[in-house]
Amino acid sequence: MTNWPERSLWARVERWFHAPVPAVRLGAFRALVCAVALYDVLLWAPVVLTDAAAVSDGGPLRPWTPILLFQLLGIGPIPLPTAQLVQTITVAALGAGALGFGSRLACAVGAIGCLYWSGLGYSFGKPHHDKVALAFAVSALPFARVGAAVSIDALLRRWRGRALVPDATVAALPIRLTQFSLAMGYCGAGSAKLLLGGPEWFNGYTLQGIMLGHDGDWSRTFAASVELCRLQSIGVVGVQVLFPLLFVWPRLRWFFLPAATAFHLLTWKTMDTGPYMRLWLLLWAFVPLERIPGALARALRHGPLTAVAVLVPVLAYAALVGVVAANVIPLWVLAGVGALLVAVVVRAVRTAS
Amino acid sequence: MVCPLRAVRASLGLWLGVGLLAQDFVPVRAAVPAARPVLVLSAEVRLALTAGQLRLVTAGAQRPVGCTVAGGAGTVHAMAQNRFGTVFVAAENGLFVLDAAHPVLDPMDLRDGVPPGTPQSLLVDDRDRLWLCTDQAFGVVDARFGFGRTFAETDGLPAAPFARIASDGAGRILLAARDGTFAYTPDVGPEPATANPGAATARLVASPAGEVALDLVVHGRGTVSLRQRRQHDHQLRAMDGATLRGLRPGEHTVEVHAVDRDLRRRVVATYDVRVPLGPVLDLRVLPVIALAVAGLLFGFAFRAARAATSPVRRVVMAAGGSALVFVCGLQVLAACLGHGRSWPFVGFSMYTETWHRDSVLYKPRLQGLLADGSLVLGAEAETGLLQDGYWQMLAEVVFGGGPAQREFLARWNAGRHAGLPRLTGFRLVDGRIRLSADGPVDTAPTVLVVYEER
Repeated sequence: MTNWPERSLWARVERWFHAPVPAVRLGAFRALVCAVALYDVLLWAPVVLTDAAAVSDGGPLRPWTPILLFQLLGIGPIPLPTAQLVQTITVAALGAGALGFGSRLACAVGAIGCLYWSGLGYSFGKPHHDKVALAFAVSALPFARVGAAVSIDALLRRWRGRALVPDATVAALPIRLTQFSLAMGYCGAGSAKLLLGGPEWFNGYTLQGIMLGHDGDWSRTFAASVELCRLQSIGVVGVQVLFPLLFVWPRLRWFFLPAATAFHLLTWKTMDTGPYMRLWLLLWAFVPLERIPGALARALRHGPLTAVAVLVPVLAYAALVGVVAANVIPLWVLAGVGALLVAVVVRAVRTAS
Repeated sequence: MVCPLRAVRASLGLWLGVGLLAQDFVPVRAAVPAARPVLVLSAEVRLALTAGQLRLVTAGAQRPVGCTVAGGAGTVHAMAQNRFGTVFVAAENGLFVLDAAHPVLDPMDLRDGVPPGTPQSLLVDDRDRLWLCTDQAFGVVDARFGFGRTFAETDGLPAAPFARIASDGAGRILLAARDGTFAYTPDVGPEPATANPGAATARLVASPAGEVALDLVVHGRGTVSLRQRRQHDHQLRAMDGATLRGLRPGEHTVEVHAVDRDLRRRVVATYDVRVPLGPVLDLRVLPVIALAVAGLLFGFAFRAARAATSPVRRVVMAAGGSALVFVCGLQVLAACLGHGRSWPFVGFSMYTETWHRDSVLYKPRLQGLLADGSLVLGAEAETGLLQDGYWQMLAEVVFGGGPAQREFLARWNAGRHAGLPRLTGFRLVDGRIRLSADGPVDTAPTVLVVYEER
């Protein structure tokens, strides 16, 4: 058999995307992605349903400028009953996907519904970047064994006596594709500022202009000083452009993931971009999720100061997610999910201890 | 009706009225009265012009008016106020604006057609036009859209230099020129109109560069100029002759406004214009290219897959691998091309625009008018305006006239909480923030619409 050069390259690409990861990591990632997609569908529901109601009523409509995919497929606006049906199916599928029930089928239906839902919203308005990575993450889920662990499917398999071995591995495709999309997004955004904006992008006035162009709560405060804006410009672009270094040295996640999250939270307050939670929650794609209970257990054993130092930011993060999600998800659902999550983590921490 | 590019005829009719030109500026014996040196900004604050300096005068004190530009306004020659409270100032260093809420001089937004030279004198008429003379020119400016018209010799303009203008109270504008005082009567004759109404609505196909020449003949007082406005856009862009320009790929509805010498403006034509994508991005070509690339990738993947596996498995593996590389490749390609409509394959050209010292930021603001005359800020939830499509909706409020404004107010009132007082009108302003070395400065906004229920 001849060794074609492209064969070697192709094999390396495939190896990278299909690298084995613990089934638990992929299962937890599936639950996370489906939950984020569910939040997204509910977040956009008022917009999509309002436009659909206008279609049903015969207008007036916001201008319909379809995304290219819709143009290619000839997809047009839909009336309210159809939109409600799409929403119901998508929510049910993503809910099942999050719980891991009929995982791959549920994820496939949820992905199609999620993309369609976003496309409708964007075709009546302007496409945004905050769920690009989510679109690829949710689309990739059906192509891997996402229900192998952390799922009802796994429980059913165990009940039937066909459980996987505890340290079973599966192909990491959805995680890798999400990582790739996130890195592309950050690096692309930073590079565009460097290439299109040039040195002038860092003059301080540019960031001042960007922030003041929005009515964020902190826009005026952060834009008050040109010098401060200059420093912020360098910091922002630095984090964005250098983000792919995570692939070279994974331990840099201790810097880049908090930095990127802080960046989104600041843009929320200074640029009124919204919380961008769909993006920064996906940054967990870079974290070995199965190791979290062990890390927590070690921190708790290490003494009260370490425990507090770890638990306070973790709880603050969880509270932030809860507060943001509470805008669209009913409190009883959030409370239920929170309780379930706490139970799972506590059990895992105990096991790890 | 599709108008093929090769067949279009660009012609712009002129109605010069040569015989009347000599009478457009009539010599008069009266002297041009001096402008008022004091304007009322609010119940407590007045603006006084003394010895070329502007001062804010309150009951207890007075102070000079600041300026957002480094060199200042220079010697102030005149000022005038419109019915919305905006004060226009003619000064050594150009035209400036301020108002009661933003008592700082800031350069006016001006795009094209503005009289060159040092502004000497100005007045606002009852149609909100700003007439002005500089030391070397005379003209009129539409302060809402920032364009103007400079009169030329062919308009019968007397010889420069010009010193002062004023209204004679009877609809005429008095101009103090080198050879004495002249009176100009605006708005004589019919408003601009098209001479070939059949061509005023058509379906056109533009070039991929977004240009299309029009077959449009327009009449009006003086040399009529044309401006284009894409539906959902709030700007009136100057046209080069009778050619639409700057349209992006897609479907557009474009209004053509004819503007006469006195800035009387009318929509004389509306076109549905299709701008095709470039040949590579054409929706008939793009899938073919995509299929070819996908096929090529599949070929690589198939060859790279182990020959020992079953043919079906080999095909499935090759399809999966090539799809994956295709998706990643498209992401990279989209990042380079920067086209948002190809979501989720998007580019990252957002926030790459640069601002500089003295740049202006524009922010549309909706202010609801209550029965007691107070103003409330419009919230997104009430007005139904999403930040995404602010101008998409508001542009039609600006250009749709009374019916569109009445409908918008009704919609806004319907969106207000039941316990809140009903709005009796609204103001739509284009807010302006000047970036300065000392920090951002809010300056007088451009008032675009003031609508009140009768």
